[in-house]
Amino acid sequence: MLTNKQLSSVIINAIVVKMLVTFPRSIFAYCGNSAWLAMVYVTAVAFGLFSVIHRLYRTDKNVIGLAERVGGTVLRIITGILVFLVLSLNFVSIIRVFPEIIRLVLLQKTYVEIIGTVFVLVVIFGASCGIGAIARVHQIFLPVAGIVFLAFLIMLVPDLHFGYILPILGNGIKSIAVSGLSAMSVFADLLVLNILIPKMKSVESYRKSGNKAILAGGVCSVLIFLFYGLCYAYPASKEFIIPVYQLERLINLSDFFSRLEALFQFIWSISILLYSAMYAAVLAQVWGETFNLHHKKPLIAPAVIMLVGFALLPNSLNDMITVESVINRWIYIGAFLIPIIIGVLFKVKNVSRETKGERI
Amino acid sequence: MIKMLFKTVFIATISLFLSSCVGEEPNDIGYITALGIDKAETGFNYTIQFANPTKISGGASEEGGSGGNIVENIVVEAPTIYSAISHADSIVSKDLSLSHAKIIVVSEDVAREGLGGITDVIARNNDIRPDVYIAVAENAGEYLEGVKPVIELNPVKYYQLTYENKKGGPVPQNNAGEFYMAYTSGDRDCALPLAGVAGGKEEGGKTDAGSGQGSGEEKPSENDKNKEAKPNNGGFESGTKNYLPGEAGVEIKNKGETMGLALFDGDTYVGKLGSSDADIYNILTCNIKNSKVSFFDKSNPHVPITISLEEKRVPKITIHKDSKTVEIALKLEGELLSAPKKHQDSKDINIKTGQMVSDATEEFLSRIYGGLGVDLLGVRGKLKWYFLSNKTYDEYIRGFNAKEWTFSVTTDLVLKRTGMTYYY
Repeated sequence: MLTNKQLSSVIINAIVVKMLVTFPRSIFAYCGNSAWLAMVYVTAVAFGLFSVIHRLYRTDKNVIGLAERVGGTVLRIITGILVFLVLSLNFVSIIRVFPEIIRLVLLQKTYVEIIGTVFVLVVIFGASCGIGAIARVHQIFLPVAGIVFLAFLIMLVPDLHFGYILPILGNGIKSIAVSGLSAMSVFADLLVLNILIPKMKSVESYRKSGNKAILAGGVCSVLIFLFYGLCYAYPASKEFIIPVYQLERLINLSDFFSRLEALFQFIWSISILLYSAMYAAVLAQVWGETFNLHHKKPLIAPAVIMLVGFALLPNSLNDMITVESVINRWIYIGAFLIPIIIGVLFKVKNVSRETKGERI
Repeated sequence: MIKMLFKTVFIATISLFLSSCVGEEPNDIGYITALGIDKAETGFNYTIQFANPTKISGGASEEGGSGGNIVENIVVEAPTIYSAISHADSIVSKDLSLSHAKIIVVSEDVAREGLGGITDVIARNNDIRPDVYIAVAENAGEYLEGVKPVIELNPVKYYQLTYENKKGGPVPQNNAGEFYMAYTSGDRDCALPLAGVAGGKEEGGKTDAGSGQGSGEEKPSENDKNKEAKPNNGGFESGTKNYLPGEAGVEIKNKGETMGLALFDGDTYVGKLGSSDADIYNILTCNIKNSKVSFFDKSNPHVPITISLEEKRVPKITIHKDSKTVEIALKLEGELLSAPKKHQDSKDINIKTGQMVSDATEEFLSRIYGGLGVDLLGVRGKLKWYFLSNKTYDEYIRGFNAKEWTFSVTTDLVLKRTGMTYYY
């Protein structure tokens, strides 16, 4: 069983990981210098949607388990496959982008194939340790990452220019309200929390850890968007592939530490590795639950290798980033809609059973 | 036991892999410290200046260690920076790297055609730091050849200390990152440091070792450009000249000089201003820290008042959008370093010197805005306060003309200290 702290650590990390790679760039492209406002807005929307979802899941079953209760094996398999697809699409870009970033930033003369292979092996090994172990490491690691993140923000203060986020509404209210909604993808990982419901100690854990994760993840995301917007004026801010890395490059501590990005990138890499291992383990669990398989560990390696195959389909990193921004634009709909539809169907069925006097 | 042995062997193997230098050794790399770009008949002439590690690593006790031996220059003709480095790689035994490059010097001809291409290289390249300096020189190659650090053993340190110039003074505090941001955002126009070479022939021969800076191998040469510099009119920086680089030193060994402003409209070089103008620019951008400025007082024209100026607050800039006027309130603190004995009243000095700063700043801004149409203060960016969205702002800014704006400056200069003596 996972504690509330472990659960919220896992989801906070999952939300923030997207900020560490290419995600913020596309939001700046849509919303301009008001990307941070879009992030505030989607955090509020995420709170609203989650408050609906957690009310539908006052049970020890996750979305797949509930689907079985509602529509039997057929609905369980359909829901399971859909959940697997949504989670895979949400995760697939990291498999391609992370090794490319490591090559770009830290190991410029190492073949990306070697970095990618090591990354995949580490992910498979990590996922094999099980969700419990991964969640415990998350719980230990997150406070360290939090302190580094705080230090990172403090060191950026001299580079902030308030004028850079003006005009305050950026590309306009419509761009924040409509295009900005694609920023909701950072909260698509709340679906993972739903999958982990059977591993929670109590029904309340889902609500508590979810709210905590949205709040902490949302605050971190808003801060990253705000600091990036304050350091890089629009339209320069939409040009850089890895915004957080661009921020790191601004940091100088006297003459002694002028390349602190290596240290920060090391911490973020651990964060991404933990996230990837967690995702591989969750994907195996989803696949196992979908087809009622008792042993889930043997599914990890095939699932990861299959995703590597998909991740290698785009010809270049630029193509991958384009695909990723398209995925990010729509993925949140699936991530929020599936649990809502299944949850509502379950409630409706419950009500009709209650009215018929059947035992639920 | 076998498990323990396996673990030990595993850890030992990993440690060996982690500690070994697989791939390129630092000794195999040639570190480029500066890059000069001049126009050539076809493409550009790139002057690649790289560190000479044998002269740097030994410190002052080495035979050389000064007089320009710490760097070597090669010139290659190429269409881009990367092809230049690629050509140079086949000339120099070491693999050249830009990771420690501190400055890119471009000639005025190159700068007139726009620095967009160079800033694109800087933005894309992970090796080049955003704080690398870009300077403009009449002839970039000549400047880099003229740089012969006398008291500095590390060429990167030489450029860092010269261009960072933390007191403000005659060098604008802008680097490639600032330029890129100003150019891409369109919020303001940028001023970059000017670099140049002092005139005069080296007399050759040897001076007594230890008589001057460094090892004293070469005699300093007389700078004939010094006489060309224009003296300042008015009260601010009285008694000094408004030097362009190459004009300041009278007798010097290191001929490389950095001072003054290279003004850009977007990414295009449009004009240059001297060292006193750079002082004003640094006051306007709050980069003055203990900078010594002399003021001319009509009541005693032969003895200037010298004040060490410090600016602790960013100037307050109020923009009146409809009347196209800008009010600037400067707040300066000063320490009186020297004054004619007739002065007894500190308030009198405060008012007079403050007025001199205001007059010089207004005159500077009228030349920059009215004359050249360069938005150095970033009025365009500050106008964003008046708009809610980029669309309405863009519509307004399309008709922006810097020449239409006028400035009024007030200066609150307060003498906080008077040195070791009480009287003013």
